[in-house]
Amino acid sequence: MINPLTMMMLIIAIPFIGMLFVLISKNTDNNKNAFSVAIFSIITNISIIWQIFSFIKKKKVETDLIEKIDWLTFPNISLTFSIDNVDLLLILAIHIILLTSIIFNYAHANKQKYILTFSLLFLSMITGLFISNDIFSFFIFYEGIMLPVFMLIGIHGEMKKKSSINSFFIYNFIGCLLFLGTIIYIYQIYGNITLDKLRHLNFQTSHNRYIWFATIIALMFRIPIWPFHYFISSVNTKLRNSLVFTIVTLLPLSGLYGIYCFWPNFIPIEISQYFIWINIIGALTMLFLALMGYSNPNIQYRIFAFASIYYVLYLLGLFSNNKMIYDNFGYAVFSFLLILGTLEAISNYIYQKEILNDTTSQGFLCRAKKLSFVYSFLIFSAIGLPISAMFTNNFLIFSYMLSHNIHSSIILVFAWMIICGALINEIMRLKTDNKDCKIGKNEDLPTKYFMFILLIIFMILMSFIKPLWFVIDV
Amino acid sequence: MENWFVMLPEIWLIIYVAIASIVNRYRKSKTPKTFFTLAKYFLFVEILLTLVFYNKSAFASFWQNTSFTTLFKVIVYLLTLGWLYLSSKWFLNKNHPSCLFCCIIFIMLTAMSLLASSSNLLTLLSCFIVICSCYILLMFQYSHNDKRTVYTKQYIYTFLVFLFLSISAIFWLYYTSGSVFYKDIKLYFSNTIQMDIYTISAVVSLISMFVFLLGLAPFHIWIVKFWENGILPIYGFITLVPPLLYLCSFINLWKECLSFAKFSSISFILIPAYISIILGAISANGEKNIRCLFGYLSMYCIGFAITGFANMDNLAIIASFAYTIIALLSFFGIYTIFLSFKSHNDYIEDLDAIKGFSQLRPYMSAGFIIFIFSLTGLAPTLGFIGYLSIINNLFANNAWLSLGICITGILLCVRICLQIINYIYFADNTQKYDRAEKSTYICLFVNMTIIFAALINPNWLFHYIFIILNESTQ
Repeated sequence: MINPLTMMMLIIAIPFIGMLFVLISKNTDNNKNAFSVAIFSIITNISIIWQIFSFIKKKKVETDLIEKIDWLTFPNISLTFSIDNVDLLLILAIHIILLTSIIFNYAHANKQKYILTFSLLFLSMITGLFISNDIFSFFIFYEGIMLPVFMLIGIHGEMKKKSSINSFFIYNFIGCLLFLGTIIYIYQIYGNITLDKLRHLNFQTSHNRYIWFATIIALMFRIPIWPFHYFISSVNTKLRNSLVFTIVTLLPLSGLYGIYCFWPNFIPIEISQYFIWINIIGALTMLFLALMGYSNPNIQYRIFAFASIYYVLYLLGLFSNNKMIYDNFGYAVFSFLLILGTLEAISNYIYQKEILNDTTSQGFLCRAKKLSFVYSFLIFSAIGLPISAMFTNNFLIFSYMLSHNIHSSIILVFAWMIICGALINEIMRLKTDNKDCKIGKNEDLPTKYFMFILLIIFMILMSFIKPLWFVIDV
Repeated sequence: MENWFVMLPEIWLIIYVAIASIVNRYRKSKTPKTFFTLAKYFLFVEILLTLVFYNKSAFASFWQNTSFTTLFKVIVYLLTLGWLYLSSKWFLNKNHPSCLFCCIIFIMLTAMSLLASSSNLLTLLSCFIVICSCYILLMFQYSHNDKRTVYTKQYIYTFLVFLFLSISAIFWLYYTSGSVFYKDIKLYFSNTIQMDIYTISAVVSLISMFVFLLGLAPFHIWIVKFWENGILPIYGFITLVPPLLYLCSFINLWKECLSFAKFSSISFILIPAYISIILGAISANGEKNIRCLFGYLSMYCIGFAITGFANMDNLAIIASFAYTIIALLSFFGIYTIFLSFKSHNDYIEDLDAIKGFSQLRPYMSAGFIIFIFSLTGLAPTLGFIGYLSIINNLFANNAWLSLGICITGILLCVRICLQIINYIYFADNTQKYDRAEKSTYICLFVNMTIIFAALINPNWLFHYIFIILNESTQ
């Protein structure tokens, strides 16, 4: 029988070891060695994740999948790891979109070794975040994500103002310090508590409320909701490299996942009565982002606006304190991530063709059939049509909001419609024939790339029908 | 006779001085490496002797060896061994005679070893005089500045002030208690109901001696001159090795002698620690000289360590010790990399000259990131464990002022580290570097291995150390 701890440690260790191999690989013009090592690491990890899915299905008992490691003596800290289907889905989604981004980014980026090194380090850290089950291990990986993100933005972000990168890091670090403060406070009172037990905290005492409030605020530092939106938008909107853009866009996911993990089972009315303010602020933030996204013709900006709007939407979904939304969270975010990553990769592919041929991309999809198919499907999934699990979660969140707070939900729906309009606007632009477009059907998606994207599309579609279709009995 | 036999570790260090002098006088084919090779063997034997006689005390009224002092001494000897190994490359490169340097280092080691084990104020004073005399010699002999005579005189005047204060303090304590032995003084004043202003002043004067030795603000000017003007081996040794034994000696003095004056002694050591944290971090921010920058960071780290153990209970000392060891490992790694900042046979000191260093030395730059972020305490580097230990302890003792100052210092430290990374990674390369020595890579590899192993399993590094500290500080 395979030790579950071994499997959990492997999916963290493999990208890290891959990173070391990439770092020591020989420098060549196209860095093919480094590229191969990175692809191999990710594919190996995906196969192990698939095995773990089957193992979970076989075990059916959650306590078998919790492992504890004695780490420090002073202070006395043990690290606990556990895994369930939601965590695995999110880990799988991130692996797939990073694989997609690396493949599509391969031919275009310089300093490939650095980008692959830090991408694999990011993958290792975020995988660790998802399998952490106690407050300290969660914090270690939560903070550990910042290092590769910072290095990627600095090296490949092609940003002129370096001070904005430093400000971005310091801003996130302040959030981490606040989070560390709450973690230590929790540790002083409850010891090294696991996240499962943390959810059962009693909110009758005032210090428990302060702990929860401070923790949520610290985690919201990474989510682009007002007033925390400035730093991430100042960095994300200027990134040109699609792999770096994808990774930085995944940063709010760590905050969102943190809120998902730290969300208590029971919230007293004294606290939940203030959630209406979060709804109002969230709705207004979404409206602002949607308008900015619509007014800017740059597709990368629109994708950033789309991602930010959905992060805020899922945040509002968690604050709704609705069990159905909470249970569907993993599946919705899984399909959201696949759509986001693949859309960014395809958009970047079109953009690179534009640069290469020194022409406009308007009308390109009229000539590129394969690209047209995949791009259309991704856009329709992104706007929330019933072809992915995003539809279900959108439906649940909108219906809850409309039933509880009609005013802010109208703004929310309006914002969602604007960003959908922006994405549809983009696809209409690409499908409107233009004689000035010099990109021919030869520049269509290569067949192997097309087959790979088809597989992702299949997974997005199946997320709506049966998300765990790929899990087999061992 | 037995007393002299038990003193073999200290005598062995003096024997080196004698043998080195003889070799220097009579051996014709000596090179700078000769004395380092000799020092290497002497230090190996010294470590063995220290471990053998770990709890044996000669002339017990003057100094006492315990497992606590032995632990600090062994670490210091190991650090000296590593640093002398690297320094030998500097001396070989410059073809500079090294006999005097090695002899002064060994005399300092003897004095610092006796300082750490002292159980008598006269021993303390004698060691203080010898150590400061060694500093005067080092400053005068190894400064590459025309104003070295001026700086040496300034240092002598400052030293004389502190010497006068120390002598006055010892005289007063002897006058009132009738003894210069730690235990007698502690016993006498513990039975005293109220202390007068002269006794408090005497305690403060003794502590100020350590503030001066450690180079804490506001008495740090002399050490800044060392950073600016001293050669690289001196710079590295002064910032790495002595502070650990000074801290050991101070803890010993406080626990065995001055604990009767808890409030005044702790307040008087905390105020310079606070100032050092803030001033060290702020001064490092504005520095363009790499050595001064890291010199100020070392001042910040010493201030942080003292803030950590100011409470003087077991856990505080253990937390502070963990932090200090981790900081020393990081600094050792950084100073190792300094030796590769070499162009046209000159060692680079200007921060602008290391722009784009990562493009020519990717592995060293990767190590530099790890050490730098370890100093900021970013998870999952080893420095996080050190910061966590101290912050957790401050939380437990409700030391909110100390906590606030530490967090401010951390944020300022982060800013400096980001600036350095901007230079190394995000700027274009403008400098050609000489080929790095093999010894640099060896030391870097060993350092990184220790760091990674300690990160995955901290108990491997700290378990027995914590047991020794816990038993000896109770």
